[in-house]
Parts: sequence; C-alpha cells; structure tokens
Amino acid sequence: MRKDISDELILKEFRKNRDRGFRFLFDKYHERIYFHIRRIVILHEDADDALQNTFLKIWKNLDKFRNESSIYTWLYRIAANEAIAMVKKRKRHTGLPLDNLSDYFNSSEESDKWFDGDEAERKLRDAILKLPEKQKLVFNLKYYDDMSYEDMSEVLNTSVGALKASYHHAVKKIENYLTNS
Amino acid sequence: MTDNSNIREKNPFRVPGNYFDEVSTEIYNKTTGTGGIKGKSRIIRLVKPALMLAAAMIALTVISYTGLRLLFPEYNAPAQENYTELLNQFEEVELINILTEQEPDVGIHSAESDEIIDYLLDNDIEYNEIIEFLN
Repeated sequence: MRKDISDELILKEFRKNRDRGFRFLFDKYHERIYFHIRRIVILHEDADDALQNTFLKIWKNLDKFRNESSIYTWLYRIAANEAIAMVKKRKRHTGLPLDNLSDYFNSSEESDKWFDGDEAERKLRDAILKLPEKQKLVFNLKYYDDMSYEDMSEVLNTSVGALKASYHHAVKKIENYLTNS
Repeated sequence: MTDNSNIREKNPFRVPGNYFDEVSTEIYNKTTGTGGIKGKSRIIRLVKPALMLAAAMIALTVISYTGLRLLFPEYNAPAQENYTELLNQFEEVELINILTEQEPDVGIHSAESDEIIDYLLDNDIEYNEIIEFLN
C-alpha cells in the first residue's frame, strides 16, 4: 500500500509520471476524502458522485497545483466544495429548504442503509445534521479528521479565530441537542 | 492528520462491499485509463495554448473584416470597382470635352514645318538636291 508516502514525493512522482503520481495520491487519500464528503452529504450515492467529481477535478488540475497550500488541504477544499454542491443538488431534487434536509435525511431509509452506528452515534449524527453548514464542516473536520485550525483555515478560507468560535458554538449546540433529546 | 484506520474507528458510516476497489477502478479508467485525459499526447498539451492563440487571432481578423464590410458596405477595393458604372456617371459631352481639351502631339507637323515647306517651294529647291547636299 502507498498510504504512508509523503505528499512531496507524490508531487515529485506526478511530475515524472502523471499516472503513477495520481495513483499514489488517490490511494493515500480516497478513503478519508470519501468519509469527509459522506459526513456532509450523508447518502452513499451522493458521496460516491462527489468523490468521483473531486478526483476528476484533482486529475485535471494537479498540473496547476502550486505549493502555496498543502496538497492535503487542497484536496479537502475541493471535496468540501463538491459535497456542498451535492447537498444543494439534493435540496433542489427534493424541493426542501436546506434546513429541512436534516429531517429528510433522518427520516430517509436510504440514509440508514449504510449506517451502523449505535444509538449514541445516531443521535450525534442527527445533532450534526441540525448544525448550520459552516459549523457542520468545522465540527466534522475537527472531530473526525483531527484537522488543525491552521489547516482548516486553508480549507475553508476562514480565519483561525472564526473557526474556533464556530467549533465552540457547534459543540454547545450538539451538547444541548444530546441533553434534551 | 489522522490515518484511515482512526477515521474508520470514529466513523459510523458504512460502504457497500468492495466499494473502494470498484471506485478506484472506475476513477482510474476515467483518468489514467484509456478514456481519460491521458489520451491527449504531451505534444498536444504543449502546443495547445499556441494553437488557441493562433485560432483566436484568425477569428479576430475574420470578425473585424466582416464587421467592416457590414458597417461600410460602400467601401470596396479599387480593383473591384465597376468602371462601366463609374463612366456612366459622366455626361458624354463632358467626356468628349475633357478628351479634346488635350492638344495632340503634332511634333513635326507644327507651324514650323509648314514654314520650311513654304521656304523650299518658294526657292524651288528639289528634295533630291537636299539629299545630295546632305550626302
């Protein structure tokens, strides 16, 4: 497996051999990018579409990647944009406002189809779904991906201070939801 | 940054069996496979910007020329002028006047030559005598 290869080596390999470099990158990141997307879009079908779009964009644009940010945050940024676009598409498809999508996912059999968490995890998922879009992203990146605020700042193009505040609000809301539900 | 195993531990989401293998194959086929961007050769990728620039220049020239022709339909190159139509714009009399205003190049048939002939006749000088004299 090539999951422990460094990003610098992947880029170097990509410049020498485009196909091989891309495969290294895909092997290293595709699972975590999938789950990053999945936590936003909830449904596997949507996550699959968004994942494929993400890696097609990466394939097309990796030539233009300059080391202004890390490749890791660049991937997450593209994936987050694709995931949000997919949520909007789902919203148009269902005709529901974005806020009501959480209820839609909660009541959807499809969203439960590939979910095997226990009762506490299900409640946590529901609480996260109730969060505003930005707070949801911040919470997911911090809680599940253990991403630093500095990296998150690159992904979401937001100041570290604002991200800390968002995370704090998100945790409070989740705690309230879990206590009262 | 966590690795995939840590993410899986926290993650309650599941995927269909062999999903990651299948999606890998699918994405490789769309990218590094035959149907992907790889199909374009490196040379094409290198010369593509120059070709696009050349195409843009040609398009700009064609658009400018067509635009000029549409905006100024009376404009035509001299070679394309219809000379017959141009001549028809003049009155026939005017043309004749213009042409006859020019003095013909009379050369030796001027008043000066008449004087010479008169002199030769008055003095009864034969043409042959002149020839002999000159020789």
